Amino acid sequence: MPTRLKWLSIVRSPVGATATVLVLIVALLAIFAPLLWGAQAEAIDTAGTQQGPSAEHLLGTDALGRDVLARVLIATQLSVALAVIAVVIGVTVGTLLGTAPSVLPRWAARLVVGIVNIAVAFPGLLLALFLAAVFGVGATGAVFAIGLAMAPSFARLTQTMSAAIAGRDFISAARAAGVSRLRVLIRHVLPNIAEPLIVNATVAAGGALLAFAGLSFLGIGVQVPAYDWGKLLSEGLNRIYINPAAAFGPAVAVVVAGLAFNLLGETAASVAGGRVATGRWTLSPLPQPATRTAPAFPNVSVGTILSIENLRVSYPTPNGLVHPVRGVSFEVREGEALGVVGESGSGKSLTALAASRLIEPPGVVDADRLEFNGIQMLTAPEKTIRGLLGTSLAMVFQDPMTSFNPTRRIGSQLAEAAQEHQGMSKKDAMKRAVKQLQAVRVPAATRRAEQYPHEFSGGMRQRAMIAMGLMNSPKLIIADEPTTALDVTVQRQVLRLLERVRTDTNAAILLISHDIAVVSQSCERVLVMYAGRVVEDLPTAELYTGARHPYTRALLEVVPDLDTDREQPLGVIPGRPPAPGEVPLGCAFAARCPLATVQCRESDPELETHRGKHRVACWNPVGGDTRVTLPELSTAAPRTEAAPVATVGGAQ
Amino acid sequence: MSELRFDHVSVRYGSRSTGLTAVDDVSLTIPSGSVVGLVGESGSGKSTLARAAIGLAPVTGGAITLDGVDVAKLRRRHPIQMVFQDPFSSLDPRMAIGESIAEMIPRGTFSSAAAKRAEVGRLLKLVNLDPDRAGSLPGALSGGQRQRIGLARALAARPEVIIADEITSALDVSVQGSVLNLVRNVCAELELTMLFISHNLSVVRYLSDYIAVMYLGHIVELGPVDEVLNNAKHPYTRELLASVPTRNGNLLAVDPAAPMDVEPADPHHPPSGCRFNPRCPIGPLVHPERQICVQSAPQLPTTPGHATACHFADLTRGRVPQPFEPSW
Ligand SMILES: Nc1ncnc2c1ncn2[C@@H]1O[C@H](COP(=O)(O)OP(=O)(O)OP(=O)(O)O)[C@@H](O)[C@H]1O
Ligand code: SF4
Ligand code: SF4
Ligand SMILES: [Mg+2]
Repeated sequence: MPTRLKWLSIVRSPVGATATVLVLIVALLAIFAPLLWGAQAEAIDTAGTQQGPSAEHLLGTDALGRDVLARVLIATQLSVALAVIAVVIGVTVGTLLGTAPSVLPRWAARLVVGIVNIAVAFPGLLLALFLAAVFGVGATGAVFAIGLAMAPSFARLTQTMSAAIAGRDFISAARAAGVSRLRVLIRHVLPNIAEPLIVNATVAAGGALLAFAGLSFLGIGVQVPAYDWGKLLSEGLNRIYINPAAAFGPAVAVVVAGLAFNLLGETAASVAGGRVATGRWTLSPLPQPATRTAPAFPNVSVGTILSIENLRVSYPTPNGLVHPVRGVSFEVREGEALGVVGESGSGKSLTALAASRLIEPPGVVDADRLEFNGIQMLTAPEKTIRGLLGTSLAMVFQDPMTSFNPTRRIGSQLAEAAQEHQGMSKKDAMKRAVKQLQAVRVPAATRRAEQYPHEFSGGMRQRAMIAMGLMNSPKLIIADEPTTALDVTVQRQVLRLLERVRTDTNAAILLISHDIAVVSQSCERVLVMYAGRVVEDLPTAELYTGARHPYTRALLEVVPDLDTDREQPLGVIPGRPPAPGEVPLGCAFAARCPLATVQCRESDPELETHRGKHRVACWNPVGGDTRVTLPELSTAAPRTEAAPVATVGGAQ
Repeated sequence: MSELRFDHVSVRYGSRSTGLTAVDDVSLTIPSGSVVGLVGESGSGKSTLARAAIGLAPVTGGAITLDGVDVAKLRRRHPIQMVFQDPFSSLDPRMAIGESIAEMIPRGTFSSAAAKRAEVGRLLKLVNLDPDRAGSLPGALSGGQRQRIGLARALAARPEVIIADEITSALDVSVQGSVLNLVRNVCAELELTMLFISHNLSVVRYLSDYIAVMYLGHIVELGPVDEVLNNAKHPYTRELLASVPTRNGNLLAVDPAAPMDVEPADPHHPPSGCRFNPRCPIGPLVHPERQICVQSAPQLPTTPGHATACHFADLTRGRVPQPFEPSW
């Protein structure tokens, strides 16, 4: 999201809007109040001292008969100014201290870190009181005291944030080029931590306001004749039984202004952290395919475990609804291994999540049919779905670390699945857990069951994840990039394991991968997805010889293999897939397709059966025996990215 | 001439008791103008070796030299540059790409700002990007484009050696090719020496003249690309080759002799002797009489040509066998 939009969105949330309005009012008062009510606040009226509220003096008058309301309004200037100056001091000193360790020699850096650590542990207000005593009583002393008291926490913040940035590759790159540490700090580190620093400073301003009120109230802050809210508060409190309004006024002012800063900071922080819903959404109706052909599968046939028809997944964005999955239809049969391939963003994972109803709001799923094992997934109650997950439907994700609870032993997490769904006793469930770990060939399974997830290597965790799925004899295992984070040797082991589970238990497998070679070697059938649709569906045995969609052909050609011709440049599919919000009217691949015609750009081809189980969505499918020849790309080649360079022999 | 040489290099992280030796006594020479592909499993020390060459990892033993001069003494000139794996973390998100590139141009190379800008434009053109895009922020670019910026930035320093660490593994296959073609052409044109790290053997094969295979901090096999791939001798290299998903392979085939599914070794407590011995299909697990594998670490011969660090390397020959049908 562009920064400007991001900050605009602060104003749009109710809390943020309130905070912004409050801060604006405070700022306006700070600037203009002395001009407007200066005379009134200084007008001494010896006849009307210490009066209660009246129409003339809404908050009454003070010991010299001056209007309390006017004084409260005017005190805004000094109160806010002191708070802001203190924050500036705190942030500046804090940032200096926080960044110094990265440019100082090692011993000096340690010293600075040590001092900061001690200072952070010291209560801030105590530090301020101590410093106020050091600097002497008065506004200047108080400003420095509160500012310096704030510095350690900003130093700590800066340190942690710069440490996080320092680990990034662009810092390594700059250092490898000999850019000096100071320059790296100024050019790369500071700009990247500025945003959270500012947010925190805003929150701190609210705190500083309160701290000043406290110091002045105690008499070691602002001194007469100057006055801030704290001073007014202490004057007012002396006479609280005579005129409570005189104490109430400054108290409300402190609280409101402090709150305004705090709220603004918090909202800004949540926006910076991406936690705030941004903008209102314009809902547009789902686009329906112009011609509704007969469903691909008129009736769910016997032996079908998962049947999906015209599945759509939509998400609201500030620019309207987008559809990352646009009408996907396929079936998975019992015991079948079906692969799904496609570039990142083609909708593979969303399709899998939607099939198991794991799409979180604001995502919306709808389909003409979404049936798993005879259950209508779209209409079935929550409880039924939850019962399915982990029993007849198992999910295996790319990063099994996030799927395990890091604080609990692997064995008991596995056992829990069986206890919950099968009502097994704890002991039996534990036995089964060990048995399943053995089944997925985790070595020393009994001992391993006692370990925590982080004690497992990536490959072992992935096995344990599969073992967890197997606890309740699933009918379908959906595996989303289960080997992407693994080494090829481990990948091979995991793929073999899935294959063995399939033959042993007749569970169907839906394997999602970006690697067409992995799918071609471990599945019987492959679905090729592009921009949210299935563009081809064919048996893997025919993949390399009989693929008919230009995209599938191109994919097969561009992946280098162990026998790729090294004298030739590698094949490239020019351009990139359309973003979900920018899918064109016609075929989504048209901009990159060497065979695109006017028809392709105007209407989107349906996924139609060509022969037997082979389905293709293309107006000009490549003939069964032609090969896509790939672009001769060299540095001298035209630089235009979108121009189709690939040509298809024989089909022209 | 720019020959990069690792001479008995070790890199150790952490303290004496809890640390680990990520790179252990590695010797490797990259002849001037050639490309050495470095493969090996995750955590085997590939990136650490690369980072040691540019001073981002502590060299705790041995020496890294460029044409005989210790690279630590060459830091002012920055003749070795690196292109990083993650195109999303390798560019400062708040700096225009032109600026990122300009920053790498050695100081004093160009007197005027205009000349510097022209150089940035030339570099962008070199990596097939429109010079007009110098003002864009990285956020506006695709992964493939960012990787090309990464290359342009490395080239801005006028290096003699380029280290490319997994530069295509975060990219979609449809753009991977364009980045690889570019790297190959640019290196050939500028006669750069390159260390190309990847876990993808097909990619390494396409780009490299030599291949080095790492396992747990050691180089276990080294030689000309075709030699190593067609006549792999180290059992680990053979396992690696058998695991590559290819159109003709058979990933689901099982080698009944191999001790399958063994946990990868813990780098903090590497096995004694040959570090591959707990997984080795021709080692002591399968042939109990081969105790030498547990007792002494095989050394990589320093003779030129195809070298293997295995006591029984000469017993394995021929292309990786694939004779087994899936048994289940
Ligand atoms: N800064 C560090 N401190 C401690 N240990 C580290 C550090 N960097 C890497 N290691 C360890 O050193 C070993 C080698 O890591 P390295 O990153 O070189 O492996 P790699 O071969 O590049 O792996 P990958 O293929 O995953 O990139 C690993 O065990 C790793 O955990
Ligand atoms: S429909 Fe047209 S543009 Fe789309 S893939 Fe087929 S030929 Fe290409
Ligand atoms: S030395 Fe022994 S254990 Fe190591 S690879 Fe060779 S045969 Fe296997
Ligand atoms: Mg690495």
